[in-house]
Amino acid sequence: MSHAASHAGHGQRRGHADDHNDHDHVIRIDPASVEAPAAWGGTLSTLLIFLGFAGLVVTVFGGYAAAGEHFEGVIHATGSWLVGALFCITLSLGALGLTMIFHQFNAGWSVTARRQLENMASLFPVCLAIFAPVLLVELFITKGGLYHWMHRFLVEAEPGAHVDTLLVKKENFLNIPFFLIRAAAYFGVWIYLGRRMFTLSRTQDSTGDRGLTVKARFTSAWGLLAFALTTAFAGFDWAMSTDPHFYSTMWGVYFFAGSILSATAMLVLILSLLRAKGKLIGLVTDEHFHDLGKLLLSFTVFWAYISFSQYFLIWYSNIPEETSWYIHRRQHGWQNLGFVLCVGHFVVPFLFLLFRGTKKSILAMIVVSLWILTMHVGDLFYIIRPEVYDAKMGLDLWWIDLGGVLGPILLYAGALLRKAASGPLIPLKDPRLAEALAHKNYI
Amino acid sequence: MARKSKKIYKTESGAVVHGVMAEFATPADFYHAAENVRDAGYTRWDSFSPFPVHGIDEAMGLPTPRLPLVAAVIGFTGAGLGYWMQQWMTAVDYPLVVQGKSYDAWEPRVPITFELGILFTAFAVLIGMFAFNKLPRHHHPLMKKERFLRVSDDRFIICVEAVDPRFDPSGTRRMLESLGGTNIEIVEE
Repeated sequence: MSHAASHAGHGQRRGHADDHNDHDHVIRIDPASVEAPAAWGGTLSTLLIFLGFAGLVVTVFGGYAAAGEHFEGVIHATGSWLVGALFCITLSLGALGLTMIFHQFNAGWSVTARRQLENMASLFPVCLAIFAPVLLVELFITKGGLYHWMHRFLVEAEPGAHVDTLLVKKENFLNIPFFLIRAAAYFGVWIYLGRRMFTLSRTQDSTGDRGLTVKARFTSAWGLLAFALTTAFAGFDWAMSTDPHFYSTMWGVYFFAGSILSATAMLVLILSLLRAKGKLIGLVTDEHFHDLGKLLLSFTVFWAYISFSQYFLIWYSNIPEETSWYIHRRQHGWQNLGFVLCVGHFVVPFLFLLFRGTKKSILAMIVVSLWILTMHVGDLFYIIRPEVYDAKMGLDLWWIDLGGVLGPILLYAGALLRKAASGPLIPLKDPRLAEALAHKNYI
Repeated sequence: MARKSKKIYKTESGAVVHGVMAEFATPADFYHAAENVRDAGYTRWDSFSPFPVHGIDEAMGLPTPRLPLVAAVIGFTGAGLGYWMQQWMTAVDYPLVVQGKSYDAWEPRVPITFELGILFTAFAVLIGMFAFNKLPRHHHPLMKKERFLRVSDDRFIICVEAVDPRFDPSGTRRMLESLGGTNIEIVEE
């Protein structure tokens, strides 16, 4: 096997014996090995973005064609688009979280994989562009079609009408101005952190300044705290509040679990595709895939643990405004999707990823990461779609869902490929690069 | 294939030979010596070090361990038993209404099913590790060697056993010498 990278010094610190013991870290990397395939920045990403806009057209057309008396079609289309938009946001969020965790723990092994995460984390402006139409439609067209609490008549008593007591109690949090301020704050924090992680790393490619790594670690320290709070509250605001009576204290973790799992799956997918194209040979090795596979396995279990715990406690305590969320999802055909998620989001990838052979096989990793990403779409669909509107809870007008869910994902994928093609595929001068190249599992 | 009759080697004093041991001073020499003993085709030998040397199992050419399979089989059996136990107790043998939930609801079974799966796996791993390593044992021929005791301090030792088909007292000694082994000694049974 030819190695694109050769290195004179090993970052060995453990008992494992090795002959290399000189101290200069001169690492020679074949430039062709860290350059994205030509199509990624060109035809392929253009095609994806074109298809994404086609999805947008389908969604908008579908929304108005099926409009109905109370904007049912528009609400439906907005709900579908929200599923896709949340998919993009959770991918970028998970990637941002992982990047900062790697920096915070001074992780050496993951350096050659980190650039792909930084690319995803830098795409929050794209996420904002994808997500903004949902808010605009909600505010100016359907006026509370998805986020019912936006209706003023639910909290302000009119003569002869009843107010929704629960929403009156929640009004200090769930009101339009504060909702918008929070959304702006989340995106502000994410765009700043994502850009900073990306820029520091890209700058280091040319300058090789080790101080940039220290800066990234410093930012990660407070960044992780800000990340945790904004992720949880974004989950409350944009996903949980589609049923404003419902509340779950585990929702933030649930939202985070899906984010970090899908971001890891996306990372594995990109790295596998690059490896299959003959890139990153000797830079991202079977050993890295073995560890990324372990992360996928553990995040799969984490997601299952969190989502079962959420369901379990609500099932046991039997509080009406909590159980109604699940009761709705155990009827009207949604129970089938719930079953698919139990098996497909947990059992199948869990059993598949138990084996060492699958974690080290590129084909198996492509299959399982695509599978997990699909299941993550299913998970978001399960959260948002049953809330869309009461008259039609089933899967009629499935083509609006298809356009609405796939549109944002394809736009995001196109933007991601462009980003990946715009620079080297690994952080070329990271001080821990040697450690990443020498990474082995020893088991 | 005709089984080769096992040759029994004896020292001058008549003691049965257990094997030949050699000392190495650094993990690097030790690691490379293990690779060479593996490549020379020896199968019945072992290595001893004061701390775990990463990658030594690969350098020794040890086969894929069977312990994970044992752990998985027993772990899933434990989880299944855990579910069945609760189902039988609360839905069949002594049905009890708790909070108006149905007798055979699967939800409350999950934590204990999970715990018993973990418990059985832990036992399978612990007991299996002892069984595969043939532990506990009261004595090992190497324990008689004064120099072997330094393996718990600062020496790395490889011992090729006499039961190895390729074992030959002088040939094996020469090989260990050529790999940089020092203080090569015959170990009596």
